[in-house]
Amino acid sequence: VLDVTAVPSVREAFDALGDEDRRELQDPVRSLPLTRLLTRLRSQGDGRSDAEQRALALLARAAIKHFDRPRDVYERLVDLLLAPDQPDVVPVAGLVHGGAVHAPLLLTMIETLAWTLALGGCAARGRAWLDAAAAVAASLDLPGEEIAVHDYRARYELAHGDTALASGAVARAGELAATRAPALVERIEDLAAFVAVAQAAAGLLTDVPPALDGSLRRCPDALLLLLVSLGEGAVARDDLAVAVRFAERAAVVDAGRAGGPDLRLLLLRAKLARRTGQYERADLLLAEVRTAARRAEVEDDLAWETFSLARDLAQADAAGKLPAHPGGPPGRATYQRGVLAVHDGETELAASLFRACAADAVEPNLRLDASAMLAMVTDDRVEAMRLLYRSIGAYVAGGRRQDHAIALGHLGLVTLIEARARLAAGIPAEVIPELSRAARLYRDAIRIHDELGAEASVIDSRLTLAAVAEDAADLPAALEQLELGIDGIEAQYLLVADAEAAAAIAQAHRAWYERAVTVCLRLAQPARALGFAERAKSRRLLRDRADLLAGVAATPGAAADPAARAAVDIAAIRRRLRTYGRASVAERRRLLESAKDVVARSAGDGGGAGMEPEPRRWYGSGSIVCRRCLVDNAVGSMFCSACEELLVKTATADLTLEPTEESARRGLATLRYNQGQREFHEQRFAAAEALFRQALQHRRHQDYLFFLALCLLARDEPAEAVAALSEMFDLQFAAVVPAWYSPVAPTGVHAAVADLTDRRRPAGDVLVALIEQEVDAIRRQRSLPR
Amino acid sequence: MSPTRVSFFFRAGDLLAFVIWPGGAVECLTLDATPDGVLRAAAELQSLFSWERMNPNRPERTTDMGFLTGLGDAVTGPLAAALGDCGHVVAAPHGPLHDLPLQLLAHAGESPVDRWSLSYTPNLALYDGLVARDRGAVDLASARCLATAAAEDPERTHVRFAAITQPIVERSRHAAANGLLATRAELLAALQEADVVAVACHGRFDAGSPRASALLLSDGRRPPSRARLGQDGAVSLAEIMAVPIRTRLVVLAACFSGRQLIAPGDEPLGFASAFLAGGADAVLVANWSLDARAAAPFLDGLMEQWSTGRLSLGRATQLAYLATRLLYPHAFHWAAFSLFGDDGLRCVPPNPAMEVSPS
Repeated sequence: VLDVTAVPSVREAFDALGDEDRRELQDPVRSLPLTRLLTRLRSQGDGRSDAEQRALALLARAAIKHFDRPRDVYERLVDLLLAPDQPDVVPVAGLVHGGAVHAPLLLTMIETLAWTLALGGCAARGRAWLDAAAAVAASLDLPGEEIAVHDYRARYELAHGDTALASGAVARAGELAATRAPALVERIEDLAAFVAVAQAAAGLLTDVPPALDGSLRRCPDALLLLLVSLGEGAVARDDLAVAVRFAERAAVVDAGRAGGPDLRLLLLRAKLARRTGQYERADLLLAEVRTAARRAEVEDDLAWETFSLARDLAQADAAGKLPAHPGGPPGRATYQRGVLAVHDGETELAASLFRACAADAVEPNLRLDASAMLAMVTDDRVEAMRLLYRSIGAYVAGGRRQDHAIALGHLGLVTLIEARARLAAGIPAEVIPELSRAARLYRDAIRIHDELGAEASVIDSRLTLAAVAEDAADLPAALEQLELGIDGIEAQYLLVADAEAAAAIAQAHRAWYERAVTVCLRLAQPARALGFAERAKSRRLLRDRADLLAGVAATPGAAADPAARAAVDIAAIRRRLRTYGRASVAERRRLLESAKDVVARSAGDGGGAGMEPEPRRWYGSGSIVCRRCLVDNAVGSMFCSACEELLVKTATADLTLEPTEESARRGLATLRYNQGQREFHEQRFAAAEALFRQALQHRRHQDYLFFLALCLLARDEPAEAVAALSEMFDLQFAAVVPAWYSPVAPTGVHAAVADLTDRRRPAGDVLVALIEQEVDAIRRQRSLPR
Repeated sequence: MSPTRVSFFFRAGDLLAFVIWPGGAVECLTLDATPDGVLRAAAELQSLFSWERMNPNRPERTTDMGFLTGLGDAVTGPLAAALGDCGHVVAAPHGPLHDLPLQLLAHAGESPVDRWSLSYTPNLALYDGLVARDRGAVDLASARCLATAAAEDPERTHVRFAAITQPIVERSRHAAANGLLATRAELLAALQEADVVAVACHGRFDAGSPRASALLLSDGRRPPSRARLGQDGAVSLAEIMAVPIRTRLVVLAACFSGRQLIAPGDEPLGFASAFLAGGADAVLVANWSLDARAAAPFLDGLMEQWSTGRLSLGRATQLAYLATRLLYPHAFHWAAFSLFGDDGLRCVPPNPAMEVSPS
């Protein structure tokens, strides 16, 4: 990647030029706009030595980095690049086509332009320039330069998060080095390992590639780096159990090295601990990193992890811990600010931040996460459902199980809000299925969180599931979930030694105690309500002086609860911590280990009870659950609206006995649609189109629009076809439960729209492709097991 | 007879009062009070009872307690109807109610102490833990008393401070540690040895950092100063929390010694909870700036009743409220103390042969 961080100032780069260049370029550097200056620098390099060309290239980079109006200039530069007949750019374009032979300067210029384009979000155009550079180097028979371009291309792709393209570039560089430049083989091998690490960190590798086995065995540091990256990748795709295994393997390698523990490994373990709700362990590991001599190497990651822990603990100063100059993927800070805004209830701010992140972030996963969070704060229900379904589909495709579970919970919440809105609107009959759906989504989310060992998420899901059960007037179920959730809260509270962090946990969950008290009173169980009230008031006592309560069953449910029992055993050390300040890391670690055992013994596993082993299908109840991603689709939906899994064929029946105006219109629409189908299959497209349009006058339906689009394509009317297909997408989320009635999966239709919009394929080809997909889908659906 | 325990709990829009009858049955009353309303009343109370606004000589001229009438009707009214004449009430407040002594919440012209003996506990779990220890009667004769005013105070204030603890000194076999003898070391030693410890001194409550709240005692060389921070003689709340306490009853006649920080979801943090959690059975603390002239008759009345061994500490406190009210009708004077912890503590009677009544 073009590294502009170490580029000197324009003045310094200018001073590094030879006397002649300085004299000739003095005025141009002061007066010319950037594009003209770059062209001027290129022409200045004619006939100069390699050293002089490098000095000119450095000046070009400095000019780009330090130009005071980079955005304006960039826009102009793009305009000029898009219009190659412009005189300013002609020399550059001429060079690209092999018109001149100043390879180092030429390639630097192209790399600079590529990066300039990428900075403005035009990564594809930058990529095209790099391809052009490779072509130029090849045409000039400069294998070293060509390898350098591929090397650059690989790093460029890594910077844009596309490890597959990076891998391809490395492969091309490797082939070239093997045949034309053996001296560069080692460098390319290093790059290959670098790409493997990036792939591992992105969760795209599931183990150490066999091809790297030999070299990694020779170099334990590289193996450690790769194992940690594999662990990070597994965390990124929520495969926490796999991440733990990589962390353990890495720990074995790390133990055999000299020079103290690897800080990235410590951070990985801290992240794993945090993700599984072991906040105290995470804090201990971060403390270890903070006190390490080489902490500067991981300063960014440490800052992010510190922030993440504060955020997960709902600490009031979490925002203050957000790194001021964040490293990591662009947009990450914006995303996290959005998350904090959600916690603070500032939904408008959160929505704007998530929208910005979803639009601008380079990393696809970050864009996806931003979309999923946007669904939680947008006022538009249709948009919320569309975003959530899209996110869930992508999470399932990417194997990101915990994010999948979180999104299921979010979907449950959106459904719950919808149900409450309907109740408020006086249509309680429609509320029951909504609440059932929300409850099922939460149970599915809890099951996944539980499998992943994500205790904090299990607690949150349980508490919201309790709210759903309360809305559905199933108070015993609500109380059961509240009790399990509150047990979990108190176990977490006891496992955190830091008073501030513990108080944040208590504060964040205060409302659940009130809810538990209320539910108990509604169940006419005042003694149980008193138990929750006392638990809400007695936590410091549990932490500091549980010995005072030993053997005392003060009130029903208070001293007998698992958290109190756990507190009895760990209270003594806790008190010392409170009294004498911070204990050493080793002491806290011992405390944590003892406390964990106690809590595990006292609280039991707490989860899984009452979970349904398999997702249910709701035949005849208005929705069908996708067995792959666990979301609901309307009966009659052909594909899952989230993950596009082909669904079992279902149908609706109109059981209305008395004809109504609505049923008459629907009947007429169906009649016209069936007539249109016959005409379509007889290839009388004009007649079919007219009938589909008539059907649409009576009822808007995705199938009608789809076949109307096919007719329009057959009649070579792509613009109208695109309009019809676009309306199809809008209808997908128009109902409470999403549906994709059309016989071609949304991705296929999206591709068709893109082809038509960009005129990449003629309408006839698109038509044929859609019909082939339709036939294939119907054939596959018939073979699905019921 | 076991007391009736009342645990208060604020929800979003109301206040619940869980009543635990002596037999163990639980009943829940819903009271028409909100956290905001109680918080406002507590803030108003602290403001009115501050030295800046209060005229301790004629408090009725500066402070109309009418602002508490509504809360009294909302809280004490329903409680009085439900509890009747139950004798002893132990209240476990919640949230801002910790800052508003219930004895102030009169209903129909009657304070709760007109009906019941009233004591407090941070929560019922702690109270039950205290009662379950059952360590027998308290030896008042072992009492140790400390009293010191500040260096800036006139001589008469030093005399008045010493007079506060005098009713206890009179019943103890130990001499009073007054003035320069009222040291930090003396207090810490007394807490290890005596059944009863009484302290009359200036107190400082630090709302921002309650662990730094302190009792201002002498360092042995000079009296404490109200203006000077970080004095050698000051005993902070953090230090109290760190020492094991053998004392059964602690009397703190120190301004603001009853103030507490209410952290969400936790017990309040102040001298009362610190002494109880540290090992004391009961603590008598001052709710606001104490007027030494009224504090002395209050403790005199209390000790007069309690030292007989016939009455529980809670009942003796109730009688002390009523007796002091005859002398000082304004609540600023008679309601200045609150009893926390085991209200059932009894004193070893002066004549050991005397039988102690079970009720």
